[in-house]
Amino acid sequence: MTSDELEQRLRARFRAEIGEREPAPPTLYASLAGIPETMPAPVSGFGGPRGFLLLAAAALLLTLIGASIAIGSGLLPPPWTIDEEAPAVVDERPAQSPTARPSATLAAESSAAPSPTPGPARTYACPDMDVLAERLGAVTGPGWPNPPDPATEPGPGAIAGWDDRGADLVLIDPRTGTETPVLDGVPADRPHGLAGSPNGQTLAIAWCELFVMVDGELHRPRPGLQATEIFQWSPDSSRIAMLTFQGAEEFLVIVRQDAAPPIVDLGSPCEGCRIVSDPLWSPNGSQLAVHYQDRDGTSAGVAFIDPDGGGWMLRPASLVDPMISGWLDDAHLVALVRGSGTNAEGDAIHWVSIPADASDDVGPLDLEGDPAAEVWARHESATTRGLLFAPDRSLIAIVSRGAGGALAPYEVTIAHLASGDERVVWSGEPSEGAWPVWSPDSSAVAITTFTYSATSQGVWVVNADGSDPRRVRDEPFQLISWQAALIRRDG
Amino acid sequence: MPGRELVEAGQPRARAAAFLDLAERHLDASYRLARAILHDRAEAEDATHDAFVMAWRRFATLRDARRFEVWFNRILINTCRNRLARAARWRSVDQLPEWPTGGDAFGQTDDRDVIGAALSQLSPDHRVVVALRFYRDLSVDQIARHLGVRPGTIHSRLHYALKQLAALIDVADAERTIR
Repeated sequence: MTSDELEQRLRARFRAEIGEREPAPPTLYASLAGIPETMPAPVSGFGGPRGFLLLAAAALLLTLIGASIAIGSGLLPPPWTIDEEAPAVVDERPAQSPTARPSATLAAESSAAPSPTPGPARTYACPDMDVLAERLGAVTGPGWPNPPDPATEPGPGAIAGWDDRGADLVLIDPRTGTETPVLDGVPADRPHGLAGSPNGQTLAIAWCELFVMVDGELHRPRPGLQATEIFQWSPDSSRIAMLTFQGAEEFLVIVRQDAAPPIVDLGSPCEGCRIVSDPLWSPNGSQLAVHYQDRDGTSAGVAFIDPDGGGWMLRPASLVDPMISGWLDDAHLVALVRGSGTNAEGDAIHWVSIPADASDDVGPLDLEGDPAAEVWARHESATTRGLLFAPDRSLIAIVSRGAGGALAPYEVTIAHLASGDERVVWSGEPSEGAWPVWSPDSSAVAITTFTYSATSQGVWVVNADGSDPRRVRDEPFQLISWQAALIRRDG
Repeated sequence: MPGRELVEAGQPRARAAAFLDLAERHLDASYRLARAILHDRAEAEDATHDAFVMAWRRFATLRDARRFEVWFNRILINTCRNRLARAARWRSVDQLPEWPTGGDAFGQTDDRDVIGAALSQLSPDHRVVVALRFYRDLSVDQIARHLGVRPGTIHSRLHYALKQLAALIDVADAERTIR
């Protein structure tokens, strides 16, 4: 069965099962109407409309009694009051953008217990966190993570990835291809990520909440703070910038390397924005950049912020691809611009001239809005899909898909930034994608690729000059990374 | 579409009316999405209801009514996924999915049996992405934004889900041929 046939059968299956205009059952409409009447205050969940009908009367009675006592005694504000923000906001700074939510510092909380104050809570229900913390704690210990000593142990670190089949964290020695499972059999209902600090001394895992392993101990910087896999270490390994969210609102926070408070809330570039990229640290750590999009998709662009203070600076740019960018230097973000040279926003976006036969190109985006010089350009019809600077910033890896649409193979090209020389170092079969990561010493890339072919799918390692390509794993990784630390299960 | 002033209405009656207005507009589509993920009418009904309860409890965090659909879909998807995860944890036998058990003259119902049985074997995360991709026809990037994960993660989940489905369906097809 081909993939096209499978997709057709799946679509037919859904169409046959669910009518295009099939309404919800009348009982669901009836139970919906009763929700605001019977649940003015947060209560624990219950089991659907069937249980709802039985519990409604009791809930109403208890709520009325409880709310009356609490409000009357001043313990609780009226539960229908809309609180603008959680109360733990200090060090408020004005935002430069008129629509940005101000940044602030979140006071540390000692437990995941929800605030007794109704309204927006920054806690998130993750019932397995203690179990997961125990599992993580069991594999940590002295020397885990273990930064390499260049004098005695010049190792290439470890390639890390999540095995999607069993939610296992697997480490690969890039020299030998030896695999070491670190966490096996832990259910993964939430997105998760792993990133070692550039100096190899700290390991951060985002798995529902953020875990930080330093000096052989597991820390939970703020239990209950919703973690996403979208986080990045600062270049000096002192801080982590992470995307988190509360309800519909997304915002960035800064967590210290030692997991100590305070956690700094940088807010969101604009009200209602979605942050759609990793937070990108500038080389000297003085700026963070993110790509943002309006909820309804009417505006998008790049937003910059000083992580030590100040507000968001927005650079609307609807043609910039949110997935593809990187810092060229401390003042310029190189971003991929789609289209043919027309900036619909008429704002400070500059890019190189685009040949008529090119589908996209790479251009420099100036932090100050000044025109910037051309830094690198592709003059082919390939579709660029990814852009990744090497840690030493001398090289850039570009993932592209050749002409031919879905049947075209992915390629990884490595370009020398100063000279513009480039070389295709890896080419796969037609596939669903290829994602490279750089080794910490910028000497090689690891690539995970998803194909239906057993001959090219998996994890590959190739030197930056294209030499010594080797397949180190037959199955692809989810969220591949290459850690500087010599991570060992047994410490 | 109601403006944000309705959502931000401080009076309890206005706030409840705004919530019910938004909820009723999205109820049918939400129920159908839950059906697509859970493949069970009663489970979908309960999950949709629980998601609206959760949405009401967090309604104060919604600042703009225009964002209700995306905001609520994330709640609904998480509710469905959690139900699937709980079911997988506590039941040793898969819940019988909802599809007709008899055949039909053209083999379509039989095909639905095969595909439904294969879908029921997927993990919760995989069932969610398959439903969003092939029922809602969302792109990988759109699914990634709905779930708050990277597009690469969605590619990965779709890849493994389709691979598993193809293997299960191939086996079932072969058995049908033999019969």
